[in-house]
Amino acid sequence: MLSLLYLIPLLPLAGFVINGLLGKRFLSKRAVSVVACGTVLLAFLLSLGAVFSLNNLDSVASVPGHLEVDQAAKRVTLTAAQWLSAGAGANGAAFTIPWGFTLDPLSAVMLLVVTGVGFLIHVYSVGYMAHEEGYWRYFAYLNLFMSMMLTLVLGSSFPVMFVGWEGVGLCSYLLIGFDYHKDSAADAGKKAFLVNRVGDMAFVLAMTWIFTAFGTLGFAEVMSQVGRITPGVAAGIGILLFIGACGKSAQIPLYVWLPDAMAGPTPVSALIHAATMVTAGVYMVCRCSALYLRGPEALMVVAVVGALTALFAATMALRQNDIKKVLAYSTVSQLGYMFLAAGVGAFSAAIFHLMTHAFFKALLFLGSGSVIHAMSGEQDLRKMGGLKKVLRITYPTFLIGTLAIAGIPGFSGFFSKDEILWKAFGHENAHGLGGPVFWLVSVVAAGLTTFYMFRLVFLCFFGEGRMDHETAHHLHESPRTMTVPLIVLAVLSIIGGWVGIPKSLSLGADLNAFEHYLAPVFEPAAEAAGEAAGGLSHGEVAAGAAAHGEGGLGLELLLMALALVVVGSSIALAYRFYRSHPEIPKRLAGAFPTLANLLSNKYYVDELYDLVIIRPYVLACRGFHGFDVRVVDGAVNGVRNVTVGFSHLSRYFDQYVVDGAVNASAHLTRALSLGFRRIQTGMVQGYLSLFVFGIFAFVSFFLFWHR
Amino acid sequence: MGDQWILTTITFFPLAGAFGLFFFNKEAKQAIAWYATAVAFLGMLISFPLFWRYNPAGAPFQFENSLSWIPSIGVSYHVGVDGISVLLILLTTVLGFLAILSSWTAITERVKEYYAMMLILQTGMLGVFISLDFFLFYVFWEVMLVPMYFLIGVWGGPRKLYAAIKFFLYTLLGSVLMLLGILALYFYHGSVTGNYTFDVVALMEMGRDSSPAWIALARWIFLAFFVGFAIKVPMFPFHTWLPDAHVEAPTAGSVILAGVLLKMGTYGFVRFSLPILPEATRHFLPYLLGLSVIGIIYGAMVAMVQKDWKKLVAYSSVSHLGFCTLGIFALNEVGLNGGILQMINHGISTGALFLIVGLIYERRHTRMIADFGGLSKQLPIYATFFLIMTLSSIGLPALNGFVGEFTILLGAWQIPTGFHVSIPFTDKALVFGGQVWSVLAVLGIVLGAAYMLWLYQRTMFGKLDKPENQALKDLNFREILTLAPLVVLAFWIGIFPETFLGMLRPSVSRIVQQMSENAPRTARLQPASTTAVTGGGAPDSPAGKPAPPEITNE
Amino acid sequence: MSDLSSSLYLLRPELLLSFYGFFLLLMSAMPRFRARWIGVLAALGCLLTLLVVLSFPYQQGMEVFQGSNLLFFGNLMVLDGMAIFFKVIFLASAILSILISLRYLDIEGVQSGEYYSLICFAVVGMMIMASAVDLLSVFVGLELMAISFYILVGYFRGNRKSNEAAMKYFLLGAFSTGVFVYGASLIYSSKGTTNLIELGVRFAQSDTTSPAILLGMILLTVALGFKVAAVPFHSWAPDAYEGAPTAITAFLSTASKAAAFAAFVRIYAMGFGGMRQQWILLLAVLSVASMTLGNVSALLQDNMKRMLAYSSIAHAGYVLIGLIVMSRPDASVSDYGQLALLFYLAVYTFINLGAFSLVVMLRRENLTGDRVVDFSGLQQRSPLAAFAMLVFMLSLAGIPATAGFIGKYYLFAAAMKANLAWLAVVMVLNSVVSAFYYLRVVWHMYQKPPVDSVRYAVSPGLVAAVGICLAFNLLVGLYPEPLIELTRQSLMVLGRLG
Repeated sequence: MLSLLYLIPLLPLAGFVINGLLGKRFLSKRAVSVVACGTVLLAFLLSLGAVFSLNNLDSVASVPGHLEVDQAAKRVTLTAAQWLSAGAGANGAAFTIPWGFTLDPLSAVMLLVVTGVGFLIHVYSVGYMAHEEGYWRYFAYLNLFMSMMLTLVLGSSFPVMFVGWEGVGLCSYLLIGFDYHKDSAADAGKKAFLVNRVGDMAFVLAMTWIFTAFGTLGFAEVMSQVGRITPGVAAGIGILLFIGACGKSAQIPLYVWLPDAMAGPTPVSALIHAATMVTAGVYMVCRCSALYLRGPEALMVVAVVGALTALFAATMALRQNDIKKVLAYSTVSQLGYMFLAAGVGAFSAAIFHLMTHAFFKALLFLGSGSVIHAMSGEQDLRKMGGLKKVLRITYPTFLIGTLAIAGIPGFSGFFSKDEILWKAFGHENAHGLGGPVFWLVSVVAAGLTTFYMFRLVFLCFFGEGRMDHETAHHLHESPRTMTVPLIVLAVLSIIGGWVGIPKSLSLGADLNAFEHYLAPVFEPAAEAAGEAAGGLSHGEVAAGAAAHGEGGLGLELLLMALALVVVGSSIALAYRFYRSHPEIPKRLAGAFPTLANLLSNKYYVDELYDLVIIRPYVLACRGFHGFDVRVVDGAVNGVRNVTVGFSHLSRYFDQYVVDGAVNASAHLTRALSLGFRRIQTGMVQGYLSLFVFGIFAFVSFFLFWHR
Repeated sequence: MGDQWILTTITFFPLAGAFGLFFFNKEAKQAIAWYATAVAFLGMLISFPLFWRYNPAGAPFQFENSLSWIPSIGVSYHVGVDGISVLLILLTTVLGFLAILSSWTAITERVKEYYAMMLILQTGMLGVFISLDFFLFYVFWEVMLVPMYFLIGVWGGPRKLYAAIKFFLYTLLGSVLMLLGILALYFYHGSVTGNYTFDVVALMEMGRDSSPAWIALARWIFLAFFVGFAIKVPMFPFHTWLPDAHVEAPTAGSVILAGVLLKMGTYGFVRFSLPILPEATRHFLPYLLGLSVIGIIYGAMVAMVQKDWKKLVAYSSVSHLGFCTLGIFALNEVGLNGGILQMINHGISTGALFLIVGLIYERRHTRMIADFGGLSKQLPIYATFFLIMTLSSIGLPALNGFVGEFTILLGAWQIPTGFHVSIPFTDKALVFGGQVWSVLAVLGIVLGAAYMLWLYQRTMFGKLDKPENQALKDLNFREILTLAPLVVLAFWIGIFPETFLGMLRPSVSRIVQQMSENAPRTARLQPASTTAVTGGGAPDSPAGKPAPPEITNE
Repeated sequence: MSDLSSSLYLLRPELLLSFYGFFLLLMSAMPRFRARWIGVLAALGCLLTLLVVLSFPYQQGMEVFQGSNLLFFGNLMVLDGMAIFFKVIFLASAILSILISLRYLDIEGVQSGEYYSLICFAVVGMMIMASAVDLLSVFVGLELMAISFYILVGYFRGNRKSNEAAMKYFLLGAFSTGVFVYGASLIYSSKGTTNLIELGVRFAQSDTTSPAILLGMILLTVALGFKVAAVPFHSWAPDAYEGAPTAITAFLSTASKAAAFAAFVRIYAMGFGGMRQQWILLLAVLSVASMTLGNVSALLQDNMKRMLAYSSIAHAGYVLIGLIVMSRPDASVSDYGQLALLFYLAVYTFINLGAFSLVVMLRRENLTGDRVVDFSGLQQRSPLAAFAMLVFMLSLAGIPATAGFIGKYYLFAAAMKANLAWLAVVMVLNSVVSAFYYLRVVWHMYQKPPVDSVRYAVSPGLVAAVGICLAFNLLVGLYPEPLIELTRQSLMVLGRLG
């Protein structure tokens, strides 16, 4: 089973090839959807099998050069083929990268989330895209995305991961610009790609640095010997990697592409821009946990950026009227949570939230898709309302999703978010920027999240319908292909969190299965980092956590209660603003116009980037072009012109100077040259004078030189 | 026939084919096109055996053949290949075939002369890559200018005369100065060893010489070579002939120009400058690296604002070749491998991009980006090819561009020498480590994506609103045939570059090794020619005349 | 050993050709004898003389002529390898010029015997110059050559341009003659001999450089500089070249230039060997000025003959580099220079004659056909002719695979070997500039439509001439070894420096 690991990314790729080549001409929509969903389903089943066989590794024998098994770390690495091998670098280490895939608990979780949620969304798309003419193209891209995402997850080395990393970027580019004839879509796609490129640039540099420092780029090798580098180097590499993550996972300052990415079809937003791709950054940071623990400064940066993003994105979501935009900002903010978790060293918490978020955010997006479908394409909340009467399945599922994201106890979001809050609170670090600050920030963010999510629910499903008559007439629940995934995801959004029940609720009994499952990945990493002095050792973290663990049960419950109060009150507030007294928001907006504008214009960040980066760049390009034409090329042509100029000069000399001498001595000629009178003697005298001049020039020059 | 004749056959086969054209009636255009294509195809086939017959583990140069040519000045017809030249030969034959295949409908008048020129050019280019004798190399290097001049000048666009003459004179200047460098090398080597020869393998001995006289002279020689090669590449300040030549040249001409001709400059650096003049190379390293990086960024930025589709691709070449030279001057195996592989990649990607521009120009007779938009609706196949090649040229992983660029950056990061900028009005200076080169170069990855994607969006995306674009026909079978091989190669190199790197590695490590060993020679006679040069002092700028200060009285 | 018989024996070629010239004059006096046949006879006569010249090395072997043992006429003349080499060049050039004249004179309507006999006399003069090792014998040859040319240049009596050209050439030529004699007399007055070998010895003994000697040297340089049309003594060339009958222009630009260089080599290498330093600079100035001004002025010429005139001025500048390198004391270096010089002159003869032949071909019916635009569309009307012209132009520009490249290579190499890299660089820049106007011709031929449809004046003689030149260019370009060997064997070792 494990030796078939490479099939997991290859199957969707096969789907892509088939649909891409034959889809347009030879395959019916039905066939296309069968191929697309089928390959992904197979990949999902294969992943299940692989993950199960990961649990009883001792039965698996390792095949040298092909299949390496590390019992302790529960890691299986499959080397499919040689990829890149370009001789030795200056550091003497030979640069060799195989096409290798690694399965360990961490990638296992990702694997299941990606294939599972991916499959559901494929199915959903069958219904959602039924009437698009680019049907085959859509599914081809979607399959390609799956294959790339799985490469990213399974890659056993940075470059292989980078293949997937860029591949998913490409797919998101293609899918955002799916309606390429719409300029907005094309622009959004390009923006997404370019902003990601900025991150990737840092990623590439990080890789070159890692290779120079370690002489290898394999995850296992690098992570096991982080002790070889100084914390400074580790921090440098870590920060570069994190910039890459910021691009992919839409963190400050590179989040700007994600909201625009909503131009793509809604299932795409669900799959790529909520559940899977955007979480790649978090995954990567967790993969490099050892590296980060070696360089605590980098970890600090991660935490701070994460916290800030969580907060600001949440505020930006407050006044959005496009249903998808709200969800987009919410995604950014949730990703902030995950990075905060990673930043405080709670990697398993980050992955936990990544998983639950994948469930409920996918659910919310698909739900909103169903709404838009019902509203025949309308996305503006102000034109919705009262939909719960019609959308009998969409409404409850959407509500479940909302409760999950709000962190209502029992729902998945509650567990993951609580764990993050708790770990954040317990976090200590050298910079005095203590855990409580992080905790406060995230609680506020949680409140805001709850507020805007319920605002959305109220505006969308409650009250009177504000849509025009035409739309109202067409309102209808979506087909089963769309509703079934919703239901499945709803179930997951509830029970998804029960794998990570915190001690405080289990009355001390250690039920956090999730953390234990991931332990083989994160604990050795922590030790590897811990070995080297100065690194923030996992031991300390554990100790800190334990400290709270024993004496801290009560404290944890207290914090939990506080958080719940905030959440509850913000639900109430939302109800008051958008249900009972709808006029309040307008009044507030009137009271604080600047704040209102700032929020609804997303702090004018896009405008700022346009003004500070894009325009100057284009201007500079124009300048260089002018420089190229006038100066660089000008020099070349200048040389030519000068030469030709001299040529003119010499001709002029022949014609006038020499000739002039002739005319001057013309009458003299007639007087003297009796013999030649009948012949027009042209320039002879002139030439002669030149001749004689030449002689004298030479003589004088020569004698002078001779001195 | 024996191994030693393989290279000769491959090289002169196209020329022989060109003579065959005499027997055609100039009106029989179809027949001529078929014939030329057949010749090019055969030429490609007979070059393939090199691919598997060449043994990377074997001798430094294989399929060698050496015949006395002009013994009185030590010139011999000495040919042979290592991994580097094998790849470039294959690139040449493949692109040559595709270029001819692409001209069927593009070239309608003076067909016979056209194909003759293409075939002669083919021989010239192959000759450059097989020569192991400097004189022979120079002959091929310069002969090639003539057919290229005609291709641009006769079948070119509106400003063809300007472009053709500019190309000819500019490159001529470079090569003749290079000739002086070659002569200086020739005479010095002769006077030291008593063996006056142009044989490259023999001249490589000089790489190990470390006498002060030679060191001083070597710098001048390096500059002479530099001018010749840098103009061909072209490196930053010498690049302005390129856009003109590309824009005016017919499609096939651009393909060959970008695909092969530019590689001769970089090839020259790898084959001659590095092994023969290692010390001088190191001496000028900061300037060389600087120009490479400037080329990368500058080319990308100028490409950004081009209105002419073809010109944009031309400037992108400047940027990509900057990557090649950066990798080469990283002077470590990784960088060199990357740089050389990137030469091949650029040949494939940019060659394909020029073909793609040509295809649309054939249909619409304009290259202004503004005249297009929304084409992917009308030309899906075309759009797909264009997309793939765009991605390959912006270095998307699993395509060829990434493999090259990434390897280059790995090598560049390990460059030991950085540079320092003295802060005005202080005695302090900003010191940059060797990493600065790759940090700057990596910008090219972003900027490259910027202009290519913008181009793609402006041409392929958006509304198909121009009426004359709504009637365009998608690619026919022949046109698909011209692009498909390049796409296959792009993926091949992207996913399994080992096939090619495997051939490069031994040759490259040999060069790096040659550069590293600086074993000082034992006592030797000092020729008069060089004792004077030390008086001239070492030059400090990469520009300038490669002339040793002359002495009037001895 | 210079008794009369052996002297006459060694003088056979000159004697033969001069008698032949008189014979041709008689023939032309005969009525009812077609002048064209006299041309053919003249060609045959030159061919015969060529055979005689070649018979010397053929019989005794080349090495015999590499010493000073073949002085004759009381050390006035010598027959050594270099002399033979130059004589071959002159005769070949003469034959080719006659070949292209045959039809050309008919078209011009001035077909007559004297023309050919004058060519013969000119060649005799040149041959004397090539053998002369005494300022006096040099002068004799110089004058014999010059006077014949004065007439030939003005051969189109009806044509004002031609007359003008002749008159200028004559006046300036006369002046330069005077300069030469004056210079010679100054040398004689201060060194007491006109024999170059003797001069060389005396200079070697006492390197006294009195102003008189310097002045004499300068004047000789000026006189010869005039003959090779070196700047600033070039001004006659464009007019003379343009006015003269094209065939004569060809002859003038190749043979007489070569002859003058022969004299240059003898006088400088043999005579003034002792005072090298002085003449390096003198010649360097001449050389640089000639190539630069020649090329720059050629850029804008619309008249083919004028353009080639300026180009030949530039080429004189190139060849002078060889002479400069000869000034190096190290024998291997100076021989390199001489080799380059001889080789280049040989090559240049065949390139230029070829180019002019095609200009002759364009002179048809009532068209002068000597403008650059007249070459428009040549490729479409006569691909082979265009190809030939292409080769000649590339050869002049010094592109590889043509003889011109090998010639240029040798000049570069000589300069580099003599540490005159700066001179080489100047030459490089110049050859790039020159490529521009050679390409202009190519451009007209290949990229312009034809301007007229009048048949080209193709004749067997012309075809032969072009064919020979073309073959020569390509063969030497691809396999120069034999010619190099030949040149190497005919180097002047007599009175070698150092």
